[in-house]
Order: sequence, then structure tokens, then C-alpha cells
Amino acid sequence: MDRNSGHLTNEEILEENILVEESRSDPKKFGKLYDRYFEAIFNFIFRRTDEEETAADLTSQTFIKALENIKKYEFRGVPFSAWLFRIATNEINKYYRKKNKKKIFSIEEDLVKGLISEDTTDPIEDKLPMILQVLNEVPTQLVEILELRFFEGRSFKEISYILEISESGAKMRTYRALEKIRQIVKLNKGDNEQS
Amino acid sequence: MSSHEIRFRRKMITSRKIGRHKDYNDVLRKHEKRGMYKRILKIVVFVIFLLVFLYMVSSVVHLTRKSGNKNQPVKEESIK
Repeated sequence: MDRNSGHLTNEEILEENILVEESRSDPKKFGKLYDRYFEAIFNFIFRRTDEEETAADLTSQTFIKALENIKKYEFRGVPFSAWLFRIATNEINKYYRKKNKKKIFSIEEDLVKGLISEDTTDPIEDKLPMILQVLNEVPTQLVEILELRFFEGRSFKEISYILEISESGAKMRTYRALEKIRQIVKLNKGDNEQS
Repeated sequence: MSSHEIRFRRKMITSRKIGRHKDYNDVLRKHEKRGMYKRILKIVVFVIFLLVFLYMVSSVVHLTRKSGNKNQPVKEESIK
């Protein structure tokens, strides 16, 4: 099982909860959770900032916040990593508010190609500029959901926990995002055909 | 105009590169430092609160003494 993808078996969740319990009284025990999720959190923040040093700072900040608040952590039926992703999301939002600049989503081309290749037989390279344009036109809130769902591989339950919305709200937003993309693609195709 | 920018990256950042930023001891150090600052802040707030409380108590005592003195009947000897 890939722990970083958030899909854990019941035994793994149980084992993780024991680690969390131990970390409450001994911060050194938190090191195991740090080792387990450092890369996933770093990658997530790096995708949202596209700056290695900023990602390193925010990742460190995320784990310090987690350590500070671990006594308040409550198991809500989602893996512990979802809680870390929630803290990381808050840290990213705080960073952008402070810097007052546009949010960045830096996505690996290979991940995008992997997603498109399931739906098309056309050469993928040709489609990338159009996808870039479409994703730039979709509202930021919806891009956040798409990123968590398709690039981080999070379940709707985890997304709802991370973004502090309901599960049906998470599903609805994903549906709306995909619908919006379909509309924009249709419009673009229509424009191309006319010209 | 949207409030975000999408960028496509050719390569994933490698585990080795990410590993360079991994330092749990540093996280622990910063956590302890913050804990210490928080404790100091709590002590300072407590001391300020205590000082304000003591000042208020002494003011009340002072005022009641003052008003007690005013209400005391003037002795005959002092009039003479």
C-alpha cells in the first residue's frame, strides 16, 4: 500500500493512531510520522508554490504546527496525512495572503499526460497547451479540488476534511470543475472550427 | 482574469533533492523554542495581570480609607 496516497488498510490506520497517541506525550515519537509524510507534504507544497526554498520553509512550518497541535488532533475516519494536508493548505493560503500574489499550481507534465492518455488516442503533446489554457480559466477553488483529487489522489472524504467542506460539497465542486472544463473545451473547439 | 497561474513542469522533483530539506532535529528545536516563548509569554501576561490586580486592590483600599476618614465625626478638642 502506498501510505502517501492516503489509502491505508484498517491495520495501518490503527498503527498510525498508536504512533499519534505516543507523539502526544513524546515529541520524539512524532519523528516516525515526519519521516513517513515529509516527501508527500513537500511535493504537495511544491506543486502549490513552484519554489523549492519556499516549499521547504512551509513544509517545516506545517510539521511544527502539527507538533504544536497534536494534542488537539481527533481521528475522524481519515488517515493522519489528511490532517497534515489540511495544515499545509492553511500554511499555503497564509503564505499567498501575506505575499499578495497569484496562486501557482505547478503540475508535472507526466501526471497530466497520464490522465489524458486514458481518454484519447490523439498525440498528447498537442493537447497540453489547450489544457494549460483551460485550467487557467477554471476558478481557483475548483483547481484546488482537481489537484487534490487527480494529482494527489485523495478520496472525496479526505478532500472534504482537508478543505473543511462537506463530502457532497467536494463531489459537487469536482463535478462542477469537470463540467466547466468540458464547456471551455467545447467553446475552444467551436472557435477553432469557425476560424 | 483568474487569480491563479498554472505551470507545467517537465520533471518531478527527486526524492534526493527533497531529502536535503529533511531535518527533524531542526523541527524539534524550533518546536521547543516556540514552546519556551509561549511559556515566557504566559508568565509575562500572568505577572501583568497580577500587578494590575494588586494595583486595583490597593486603590480600593486607599479609597475606602480616605472616605472613612472623611466620614469620621470631628472631635471637639480639635475645634477648640
